[in-house]
Amino acid sequence: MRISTQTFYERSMTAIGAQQGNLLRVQQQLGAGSKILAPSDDPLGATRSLALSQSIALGEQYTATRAQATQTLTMEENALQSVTSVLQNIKGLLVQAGNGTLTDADRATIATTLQSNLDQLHGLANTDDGNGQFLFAGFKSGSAPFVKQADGSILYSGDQGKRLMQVDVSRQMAGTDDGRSIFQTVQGGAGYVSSSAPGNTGSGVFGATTVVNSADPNYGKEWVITFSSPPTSYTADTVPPLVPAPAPAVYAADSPINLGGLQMAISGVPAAGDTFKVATAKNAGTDVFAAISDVIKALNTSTTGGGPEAQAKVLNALSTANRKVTNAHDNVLTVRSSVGSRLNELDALAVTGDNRTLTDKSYLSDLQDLDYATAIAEFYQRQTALQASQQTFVRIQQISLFNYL
Amino acid sequence: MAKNTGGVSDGSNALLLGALQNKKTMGNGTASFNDAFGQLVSSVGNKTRQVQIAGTAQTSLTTQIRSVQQSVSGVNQDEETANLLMFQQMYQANAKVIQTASAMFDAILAIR
Repeated sequence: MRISTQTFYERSMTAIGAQQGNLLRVQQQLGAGSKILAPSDDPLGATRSLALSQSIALGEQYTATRAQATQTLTMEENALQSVTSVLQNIKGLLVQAGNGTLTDADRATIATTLQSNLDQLHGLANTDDGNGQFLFAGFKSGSAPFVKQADGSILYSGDQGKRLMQVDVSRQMAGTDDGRSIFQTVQGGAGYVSSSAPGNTGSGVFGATTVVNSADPNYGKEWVITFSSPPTSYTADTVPPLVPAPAPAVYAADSPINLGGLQMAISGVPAAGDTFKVATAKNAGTDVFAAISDVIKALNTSTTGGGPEAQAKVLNALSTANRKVTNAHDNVLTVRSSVGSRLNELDALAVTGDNRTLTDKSYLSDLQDLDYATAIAEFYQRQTALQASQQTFVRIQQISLFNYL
Repeated sequence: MAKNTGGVSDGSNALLLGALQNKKTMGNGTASFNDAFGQLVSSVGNKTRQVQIAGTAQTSLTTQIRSVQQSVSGVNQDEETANLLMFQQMYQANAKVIQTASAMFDAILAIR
């Protein structure tokens, strides 16, 4: 083909321009360290790396949330550990107070110790996270959840909200437990709570309840034993009353009384009109603070000159409190184990999360990161090509017939 | 979720907001925000690529046409130089003929 001089210049410049463009591209890739400078370079790869970047960012957020959850759960675990030891202390004191040789003064001393334990428990129930956020208040963490009332009772003013945290893609975990489920709840399988009515005048002392037949149709009901006399006899009825009403039975001290699959013995001499209640743990009042307050009151009551009747009152109050505190202790242990298993789960989630982030990162790197060796080699190749274009252009451009004239 | 007065640690709404990240809210409930953005990026990227390729093809076509046009009507310096030399030589040759003719004519007129 006939080449016009203008065509020669134009084509040469186009070639050099293209080479410079390629060189600049490689140079930019080297500068950014990325294969993909614009989505048009690799639309599929760009979209995929967007998705991966989001996944990595989410993973980092979950990691941060897990750290937060671990922190609050560890704080809760510490607080519950102290609660457990305080409750154990209280149980020890209750057993000690049951010693028949104690004087009023001895019991008052134990009552004082119990009161300080109760205050300690109250303080632990109002544990905060160090920033004024109360751990056991549910959502209402701005104010102390357990408030002492004018009459000395302790009322829960938090709510039952679970502070859920997104610790993994499809896992929301409660960062704390609310105070009600720790201090004012008993487990479903908690033991029966027996109690004597405050107005009892006899010296009847109830013993431990034992389950002899959990298949009994009346098993699990609340029972009331009402005494009548003379001769001393009792009626064991449920709440609400059985139909037909059960017949009265003759009372014999220390012989087991059947209460629908349960057995309980009563010793001493109950008076007419005395009642004893055997309730499921749920119905007997589940507030551990109230249980301890009640027993402190009973221990502070003087027995001097009261005879076996006054002794019986103290013993019965101690048995009731002991059972309630044991139930509360079991409940706290259950919550503690749930906290422990949540902490374990967080560890397991952290391992999976880290693995996923690592996989995502290596995939993302495959997609968009530049292979420097290849890129630098390409850079030199393109540079050589540009130099060749320039040199050949200048050489050819110099050739002209005029040179020979 | 409604307001929970006093519930200062109530993160329920924050959790719901966070869940929007992966919820299929876009494209008639078929894509999450990121999916939709990814689709947009992919579609823009593909269009750009198409346009770039079309642009390259067009430039190449223009270059071809221009070369053909230039091959017919363009000027080649060497060609023109050669023509110039040719015409110059022709001119010189003609001048030489005229000079010779003039010399001959003068010689004839000198015969008396």
